[in-house]
Amino acid sequence: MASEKKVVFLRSSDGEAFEVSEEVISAASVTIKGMIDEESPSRADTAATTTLAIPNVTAATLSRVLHYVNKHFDAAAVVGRPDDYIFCAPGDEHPLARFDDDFVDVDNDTLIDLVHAAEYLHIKKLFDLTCKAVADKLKGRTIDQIRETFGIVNDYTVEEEVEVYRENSWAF
Amino acid sequence: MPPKTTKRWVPVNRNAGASRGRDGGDPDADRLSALPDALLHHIMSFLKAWEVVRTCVLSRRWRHLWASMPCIDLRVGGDDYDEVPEDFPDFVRHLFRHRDATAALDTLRLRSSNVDGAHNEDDARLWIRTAIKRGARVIHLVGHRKMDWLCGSCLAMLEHASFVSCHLKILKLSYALLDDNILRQLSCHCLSLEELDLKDCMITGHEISSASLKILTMFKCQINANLSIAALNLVLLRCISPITQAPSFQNMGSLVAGTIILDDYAFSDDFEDFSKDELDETTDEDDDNQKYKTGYGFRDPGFGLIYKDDYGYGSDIDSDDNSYEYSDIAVDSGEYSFDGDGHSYSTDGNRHVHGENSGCNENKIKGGYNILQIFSNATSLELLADAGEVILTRELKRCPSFSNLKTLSLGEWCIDADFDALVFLLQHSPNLEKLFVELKLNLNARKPLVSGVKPKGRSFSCKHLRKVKIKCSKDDVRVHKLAHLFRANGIPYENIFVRRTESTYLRGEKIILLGTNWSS
Repeated sequence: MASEKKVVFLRSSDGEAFEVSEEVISAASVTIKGMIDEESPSRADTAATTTLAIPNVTAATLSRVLHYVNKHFDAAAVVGRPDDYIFCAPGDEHPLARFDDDFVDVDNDTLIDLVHAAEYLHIKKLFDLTCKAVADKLKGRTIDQIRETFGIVNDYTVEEEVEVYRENSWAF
Repeated sequence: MPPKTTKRWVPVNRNAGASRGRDGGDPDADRLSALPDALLHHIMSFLKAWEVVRTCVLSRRWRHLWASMPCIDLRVGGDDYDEVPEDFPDFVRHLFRHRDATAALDTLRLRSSNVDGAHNEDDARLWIRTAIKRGARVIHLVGHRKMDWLCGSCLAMLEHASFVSCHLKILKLSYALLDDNILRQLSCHCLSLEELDLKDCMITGHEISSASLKILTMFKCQINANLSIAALNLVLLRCISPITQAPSFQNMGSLVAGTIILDDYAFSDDFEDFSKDELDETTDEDDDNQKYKTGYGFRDPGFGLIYKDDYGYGSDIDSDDNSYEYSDIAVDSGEYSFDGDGHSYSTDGNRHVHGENSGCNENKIKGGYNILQIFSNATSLELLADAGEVILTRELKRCPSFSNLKTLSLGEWCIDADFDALVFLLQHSPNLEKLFVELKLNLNARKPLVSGVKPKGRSFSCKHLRKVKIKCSKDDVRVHKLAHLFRANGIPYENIFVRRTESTYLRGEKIILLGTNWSS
C-alpha cells in the first residue's frame, strides 16, 4: 500500500526534463518548493504532473544536482524518509561523507556550475559543499598556482603589483 | 523505478565532464573571478583570514575583496603553521584596521590562545571585543582540550563583559569555562542571543535563563554545579552526553524538538572522557562541520529554516541497504512470540559490546529534573540512552502527555523485559506518527531499571502511527517480540521496518581491531 508519490518534472535550460519526487525536491530546494507551492492551487484536483522550468541550469549540471538531492534527501525508495532518524556507530564516518568527497571531485567548470545551481535552487547543504570545495582548491597554493588553476589573468601592472604587495605586506 | 521517466538523473561523476560540452564557451575563461562578490565571500568563509587577505594579489578583481569579507577566521590549525603570518597579533591588528569600515562584520572564529604562543588570551579577548563592537552576529571561540592543558594551554576563560551585545545572535564555544558570571551575562545582557552552542565546555555556573534563546546545544559538557536552565522561547534543545551531572530544566513551553542523549557512565566520579581526545586529535578546526560522534546519529528535527544545518549531516540517512519490511524477516519468528522468552541471544556471554551502561550508583546521579516534562508540546523527540539509564527512568514518573508528538526515537533504556517503559511512553503519545527504536545487544549489562511506572495494560492507542523503524543487530531476536507487540496494538507488519546491522559479535571484534585507527 505504498502511497502514491507525487513527482514533478524539471526542465533544464537546454530542454531536458528530469523526473524527481516532489517530496524530495521540496525538502532539498527552497526555490523549487516555492515554485511548487505557487503552482499547487491550480493543480489541486488534476492528476497532471507539473513541469517546472529551471532556466539557469543545464541538463549536465541538473542531473548532478539531482543525483546529490536523491542521495541526501531521499533515504531510500522503500523505507527511508529524509526525516528519518539514523543511528551511526561511534566513530563512523558519515555514510555520505565519501559520496560528497567524490561528488565535488570534478573539474573547476563543473564545480562552478554546481555552485551557481546550488545558489539558484537554494540548496544550502550543496551550496556549502561546493563552495568549500572551491575554497579547498585555493588552500595551500601559491598565488601563481591559484592563477593557473582557475585561469586568473594577472592584470596588474608591475608597479601596481609591487604596490599591492607593499600595502598588504602585513599579511605575508 | 518509474518507467515513464523522460530522463533519469544519472550518477555521473568525475570523467563525465569530458563527455559533455562546456557550458561556458571559452575553456580558459576565469569563471571564478566572474562570480559575484557575495558568492566569493561565501567561498572565502571557508578559508583562514590570512589566506583570504593574500588573494588580493591575484588580480585587480581581488584587490579589495578581502576587505569587505563578512567572516574572519583566525583559528590557527595544525596544518597552518607554515603559513601563518609571523607576528600574528600584528596581522590581526592590521586586518581590523584596514578592513572596509562600512562592510558588516558578521562572524568571528578564533582560538582562545595558541599552543605555540603566537597569540595569547589577552589578544583573543581584544579581538572578541573588537568584533562585538563592530556588531558581530556570530562568535565562535575554541579553547584547548585537556590534552593541551598539559602543555600549558587551558580552557578558554571568557572575559565577563565581552559578550555584552545587542547584536550577538549565535555564540559557539568549545573547551570554554562558563562560570556564574558568564552565564549571567549571557542570560541578562545578550538580548538577541538566539543560539548557544556549547561543546566540550566546563560549566560551573548555576543558571541559564534567557528569553531570547531559541536553540541550545550542549555537547559533552562537564557540568560541575546544579545547573538549571530556563528558556521560555527555546524551540530546540539538544543535550548530548553531559558529564558529571545532567542539567535540570524549567519553563520551556515553546520547545518543538529535542534530543537527549545520556550516559550514566559519564556521571560516575572517576569518569574521564578519553575517547574525546583521541577523536579530536586530527580535527583542529573541529567545529566547521561538527559531526558529533556519539553512539547515536543526529537527526535534523525537520525544522526547516529555524534549524541551521551546521551540524554537517544531521538530516541524512544512509543508503539503507540492510533495511527490510518486517514481514520479510518475520519467518521463524513464531517461537519468539510476545510472551515467549527470547533469550536465545544471550548464549555467548563473552560478548562485550558498547551500548552497555556502567554500574553507576543511581542514587548519586544528579540533575536531569523535568527532562521529559519540558517536552509536553514538542512534535519531535529523541530520548537515547542505554539500558538502565537512571534519569530518564526516574523522570517517567513525571511524564506528561505528549499530545503534539509526531516523531519519537528511543534507545535501549526503555526496552525492558515487558517493554513497560516503551508501552508507557506510547500510551502518553496518542498522536504519534513515527517511532524509531534502536536496540543494542547488551549482554553483560545490568538489567533495565524497574521504571516504577506501570503502563495500564499492554495496549496503547496510536491511531496515526504509520511507521515503526527498528534498528538492531542481526542476532537480536527481540525485534520479533516488538513486532508482535505492535501488531497486537493494531500496527500491521507492513508498517514495521527493520534495519539490521552486522552481528554485534563481529562488530565488537572490529572495534578492537580498528581501535587504533579511529582517530583518522
